Amino acid sequence: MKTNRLIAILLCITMLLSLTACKTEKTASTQGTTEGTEATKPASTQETTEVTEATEAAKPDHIVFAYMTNNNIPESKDLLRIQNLLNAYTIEKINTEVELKLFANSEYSTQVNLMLGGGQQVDIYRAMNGYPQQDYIKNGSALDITDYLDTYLKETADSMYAGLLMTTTVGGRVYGLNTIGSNYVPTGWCYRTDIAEELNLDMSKVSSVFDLTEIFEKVHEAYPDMILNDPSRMNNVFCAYLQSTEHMDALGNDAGNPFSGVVFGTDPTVVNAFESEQFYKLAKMLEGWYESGFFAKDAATSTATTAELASSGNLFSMFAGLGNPKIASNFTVNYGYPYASIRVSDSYMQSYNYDAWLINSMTKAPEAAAKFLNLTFTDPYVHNLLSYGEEGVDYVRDADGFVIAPEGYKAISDVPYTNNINYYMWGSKWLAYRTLGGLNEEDFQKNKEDNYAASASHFYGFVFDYSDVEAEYMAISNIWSEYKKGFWTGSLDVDTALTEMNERMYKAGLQKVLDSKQAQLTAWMESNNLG
Amino acid sequence: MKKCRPSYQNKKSNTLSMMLIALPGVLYLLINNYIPMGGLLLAFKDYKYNLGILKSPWCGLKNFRFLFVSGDAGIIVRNTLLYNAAFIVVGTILSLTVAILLYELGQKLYARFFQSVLLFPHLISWIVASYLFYALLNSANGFINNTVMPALNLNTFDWYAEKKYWPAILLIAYLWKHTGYNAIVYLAAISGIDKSLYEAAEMDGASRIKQIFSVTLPLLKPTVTIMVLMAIGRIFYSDFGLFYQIPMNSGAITRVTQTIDTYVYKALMTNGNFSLSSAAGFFQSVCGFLLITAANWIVRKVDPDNALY
Repeated sequence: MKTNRLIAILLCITMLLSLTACKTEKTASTQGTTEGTEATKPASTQETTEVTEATEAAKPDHIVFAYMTNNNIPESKDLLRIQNLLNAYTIEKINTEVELKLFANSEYSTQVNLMLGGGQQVDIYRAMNGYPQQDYIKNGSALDITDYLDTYLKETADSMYAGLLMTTTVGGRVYGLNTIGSNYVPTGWCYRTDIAEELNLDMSKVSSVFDLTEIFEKVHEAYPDMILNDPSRMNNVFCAYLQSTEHMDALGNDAGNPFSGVVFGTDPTVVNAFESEQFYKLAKMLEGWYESGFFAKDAATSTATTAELASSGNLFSMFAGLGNPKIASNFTVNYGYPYASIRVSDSYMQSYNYDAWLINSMTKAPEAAAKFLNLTFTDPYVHNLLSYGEEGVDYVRDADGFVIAPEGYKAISDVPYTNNINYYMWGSKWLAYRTLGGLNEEDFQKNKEDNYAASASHFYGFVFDYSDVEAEYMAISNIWSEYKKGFWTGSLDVDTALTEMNERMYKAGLQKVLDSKQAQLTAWMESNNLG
Repeated sequence: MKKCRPSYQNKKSNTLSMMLIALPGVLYLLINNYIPMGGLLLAFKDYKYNLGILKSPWCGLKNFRFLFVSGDAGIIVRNTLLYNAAFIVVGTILSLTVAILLYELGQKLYARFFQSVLLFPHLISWIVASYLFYALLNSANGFINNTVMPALNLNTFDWYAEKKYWPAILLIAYLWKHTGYNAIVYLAAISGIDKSLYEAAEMDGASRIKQIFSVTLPLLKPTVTIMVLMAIGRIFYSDFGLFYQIPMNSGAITRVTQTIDTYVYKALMTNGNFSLSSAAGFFQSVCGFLLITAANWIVRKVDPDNALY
């Protein structure tokens, strides 16, 4: 009996211990990391603490900066190394300690949303992946930064081009800052130059996406097994034709997903894009491409990334925004095959920018966050540290000031820390050092001018608020996501699919959404004195 | 050893140690199953991150409207129920058959071998299984499109875009993974049947088939009833891994592969909307509760001994 009871108690204790062990272990490990960051802080921080002691300044504020990468995610020790360098700089300059949180582009928004929803500390984050800043403003997670525009963010506000703050303004208050340098984005088509030369393709004839059919036919004849188009980038084609050529403005959506009503040109009538001739024409062309075998058979369901397809050497071409006019050289360096790009459309900005940096409304240090945000927009050291890593270790600059790989590395994408593909995603991209093979001084100035003078929709600044029709809006969005890849890759029978989809959308309340958008647009035009 | 009669004192401390043993389980239940119920509030709120759950404004049934406007509610309920019903019916019949065949095999070595082979899929996670299926179904390099279909002189197509085959594919995936495991439960029950019954049947001249239908199956009835009841109790909960991983999140087939669980997950992860996914989760709980109560009520009428409560 006694032994039995003893065993029972022992079992009980072990179970309890095992339960609590999980918990203590967790706290221990988090303690470990914070201790780690403190312990590994370089000597310079100690110096700064001495400085702060001397000036009797307050303890530095601690903020979390969530940003994204399209390169490989660096090892944590390398990220920590960059973080320490950054802190050495920011503590001295703005008395703020910045913790870096880095996510892959594809999972950035999901992670940030979970952090925001779960109440984890994240002070500065960005709208992307189809979560426009409007959603964050609506759900209350974006801080009203209007008052900082005259103080901590003044330098940034002054560098912005006219109207850039309009798309982050709701009810006269400003909630975020769009990145500078994404206003002028013509669509490009990048192709393998080795194959083009071999087949003697005349690229001078190509000026729109419709001219590509002929090229693809020739390549398909010579290389029947080659994938001619990267299916994951097909929304660029919709942008090239519908947005930049036909001047469609999806008023809150992007051109590849124009599901909640659009306008064409300066005509303020909101229409369903899927009933327009323009959409039909493009969808039919893509259907033809698919039927001719220009895509892989599983294009609509494939999950292969550009990197996987291009590095395999079996991809002839892909579409890309030419925000960086020399994007093709980037592909060449990263994927190992020679690519060149051709412009297939001009640039045309829609009513709405998507890419604003926001400050979390629950932040404990809004001023420190604003100060650091200002640095990402205005400070070349901070910008390049985030983009290329530590000078001398992750990159070096040649005699002309171009960024090249340090000794021992083949390319700047192989180094321990680099975020060079995303260099335009934070602050002002013109702060970034130029890479060898990229823009020369002339291109650089031209790009800057183009951006400040980019052509924009007549309705630039209009922000659609779908709160009143949220249920319908979400329902339509879900229906569209069933069909979108089919339309992007032409793998659907366009005529039947369009009819079926439109029918379902109207049943789910598309008309209500169109009416709501129209009413808001009319009201907006009246208040802005647009005829 | 002297047989000791528990005194009052003894009984009390016994209860205490018993309660201590139960404590971790109870705590787990509380933390994992009861405390999160507070989150159901979100289903009735217009959730504002900066205000928190309690201070966010109430919005009535607005979040539920979304489920019904889109017609999604009907589809996800239909999918969840029909798939689970198919799993219960086909799954039970198949595992019973397998269990009886394994038992009839008799020889230990064979039985062990087949048992292990059948159990193996149960140990593979859905995410690995999804790539096994991808290797079969992938339209460019998949085994079926490259080898099976040409051999049968059939046209190949993109499996991940064809709605009509998915109910069958998901059923096969489910059976492949779970049949072996469920068969073991039944096999154990068969092994427990008194051998003398079979001897008596043989004496009376009953064939092997006759023995199965007259002895094995009737005696398995209680086990089958309990297993089926337990499955019905979970009929509103779909196997998330199966429905999320195996279709590889392909948009074209969502209408036939989407169940309540995957819907809640997607509403949260792709739309980033806590309120809508809470509403969908709440809807699932209510429907599930009604169904269990109904199922149990029927069982109590038919066979009171097997009712859950």
